[in-house]
Amino acid sequence: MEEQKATANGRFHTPLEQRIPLPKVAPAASLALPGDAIYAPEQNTLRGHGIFWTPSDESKVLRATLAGTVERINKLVTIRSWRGRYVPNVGDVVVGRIAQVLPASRRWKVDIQARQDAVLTLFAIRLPGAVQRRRTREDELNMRAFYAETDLIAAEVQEIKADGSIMLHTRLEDKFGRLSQFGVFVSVPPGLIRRTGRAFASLGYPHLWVVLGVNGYIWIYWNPEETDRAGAVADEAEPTSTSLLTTGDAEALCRARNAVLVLSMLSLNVSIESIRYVFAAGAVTDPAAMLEPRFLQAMQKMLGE
Amino acid sequence: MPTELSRTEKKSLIWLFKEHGLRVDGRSALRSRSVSVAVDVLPSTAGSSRVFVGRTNDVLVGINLELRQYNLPAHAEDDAKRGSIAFSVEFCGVASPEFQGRSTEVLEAELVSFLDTAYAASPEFLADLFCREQRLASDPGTLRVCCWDVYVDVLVLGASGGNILDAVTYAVRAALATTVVPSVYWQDSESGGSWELDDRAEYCALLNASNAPLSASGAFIPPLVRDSRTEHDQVTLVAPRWFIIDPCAEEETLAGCFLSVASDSAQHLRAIWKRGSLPVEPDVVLDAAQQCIRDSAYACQEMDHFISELVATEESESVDDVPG
Repeated sequence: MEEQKATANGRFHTPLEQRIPLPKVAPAASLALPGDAIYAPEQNTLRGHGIFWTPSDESKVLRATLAGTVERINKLVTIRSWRGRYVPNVGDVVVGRIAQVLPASRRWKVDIQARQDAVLTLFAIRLPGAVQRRRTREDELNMRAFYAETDLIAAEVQEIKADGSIMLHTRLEDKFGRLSQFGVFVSVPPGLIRRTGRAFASLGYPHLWVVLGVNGYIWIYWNPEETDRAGAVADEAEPTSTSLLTTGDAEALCRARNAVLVLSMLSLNVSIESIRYVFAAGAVTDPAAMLEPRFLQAMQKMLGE
Repeated sequence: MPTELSRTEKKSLIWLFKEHGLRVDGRSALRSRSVSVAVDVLPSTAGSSRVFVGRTNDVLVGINLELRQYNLPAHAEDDAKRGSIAFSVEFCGVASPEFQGRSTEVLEAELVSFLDTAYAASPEFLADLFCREQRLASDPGTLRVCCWDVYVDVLVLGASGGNILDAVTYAVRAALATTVVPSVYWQDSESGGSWELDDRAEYCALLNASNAPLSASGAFIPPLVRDSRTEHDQVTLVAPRWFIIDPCAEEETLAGCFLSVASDSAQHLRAIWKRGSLPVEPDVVLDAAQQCIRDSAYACQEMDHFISELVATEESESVDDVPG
C-alpha cells in the first residue's frame, strides 16, 4: 500500500488507495464486473437485473452489466449491485423519510432508497392509544399530525405487490413510527448493509442506540430509556430535555455517525458489530479526525483483512 | 443533493452546535474538511486533477492551453500583456441520476461566473500567463507578444457532500499548478516572424499558479428553526447567528444563507458571493468574510506546499527510474 504523503496537519492529501483484496470466503466466481461472462448451463435461464446476453456469445454465456454479486434463484440469474438501490424483502426493518402526504388516497409516500417510493397507508399505522378501530374521516385530515413531510420513520416492509409497489407498516409493538428522539441520520449504499435480525441495538455506549435500516438509512439516537422503542415517544423530545447530555456524549454521537461514514467510505460491511468496532476504535480520537486519511487508513488495514 | 431534513434532525443539529459547539461530523465551527487531491489523471490534457472532499464530492478538472499571438506597440503597458482563462462547468449526468436533466444548469452558470470573477480579478495570475515578447525586425515600434489562453473544463461527478464550490476551486487550482507549459521559440520569417511551440518534454515547465485564488465558503446557521406546523408563533424572520466554515450537506440544507469568498495566498480579496434568502447583519457578514479570506489564503499556502512536495517526490522517483 502506498504510504500517505500528506504533511501532518495539512488539509490536502493524496487519495486513499482503494484497492480492496477480494474477500477470502466468497468464491471469486460469485463476483462480477461489467462485461464478465457468467456461465449458465441450464436451458431457458431467466435473465434478471444486471444480466445481458449478446448474440455474439454462445447461448450459455451471459454477461454482467453491473458490478456486484451474482445471485441465482432457480433459473433466475441477477446481479446485486453494491451501489445499487435497495431491493425490499418482506419483513425488513427500514428507515424511511416521508416524501409526500396524500390524504385523498389515505397514504404516505416514503423514500426508502428503493427504486420507487414505498407506500404507507393510513390503515397500516398504529393510532395513538393503541386502539383498534376504523379509520375515520378525521384521521384522514389529521394525517400530517402522525407523519408529516420530511419526517423520518422506522417501518417494516409488509408486502410487495405484484406490480412492485412496496407496502410498509408501523404497527408492530412500540418500535416503529416517527423517529423523534435526539439523533442524527446517515445514509449508506444499501448493498453494504448486512441483513440481520436486529435493527435496534445499543452501540455499547450508554444511551446511544442505532436503528439500522436494511435499506441503508441509519438513525443514531440518544435513548434515555435504554429500551428498543424508537418511535414510541408520543411527544416530540424537545432539545431542552436532552440538556443532560455532556459534551462527551455529544462527541460520542458524532463519533457513531462518523463510524458509519468510515465504513461506507471504505466500502465495508455495515452491521451493528462493525459500527461498534469502528466506534470503539475511534474512542480515543477527535470525532472529526475519524474522516481524515490517517484514521481511514488504519481502519482499512484493520478491517480489510 | 440531500432533501430537506426532518424537524427532529434540525433541532438535533442546532442543539449540538448551540450547546457543545459541535457540528454533526464532530468538527468545530471554523475547521474545514480534509481534501484528497490526485493530479495528472487525464493524459490528454496539459494539466488535470481530481478532488474528493468528504464522501461524495468528486470533481475532475482538465486544462488545455492555447498560444495566442498579437502585436502591441512597443511602449504598451504591462496590463496589455496578459493571458486569459475561461471556464466551463458541467455536472456529469452519467455519474449520478440527480445531475440528469436541466436541474443543474443554474448552479453550473453560477459556478462559472464565480470562477470567472475570481480569476478575472487576479491580475498577477493573468500576468503569469504572459509568455514572451519580441520586437519585430521589420517594424521596431511593434512588439509581437504571445500569451497563454487557458481553458478549464470542470466535470462534477458527485456533489452531495455539500460545499461543491470550494471543491471546484481546489480542483481548478491544483490542476493549474501542475499544468505543463511547453516552451516557445522565435521563428523569423519574411513577413516578420512568429512564435513557435517547442513541445519537447525536457523544455516544458510547470505553470506558475501561486497567484491563483482559492475560495472558502461558510454558512450561517439560524438559532431557531421556524416550526412549519405552528408558524404563527414566530412572525419575524430570525437572523442567522452562527457562522461555520465548509458546511457539509446536512448543514447546507439547514442554513439559510451562504457566503463564499475567493482570495489568493496574500489575502487579496478576489470574489465574494452571498446566496440564500435569509438576511444577515452586516457586521456578521464582515467578520465572516474576513474569516473566509484568512481561511482561503491559508488553503492557498497549504496547497502550494502540498503540490511542491508532490512534484518533488515525482521528480525524485523519476530520477530513481533512470539508472534502473
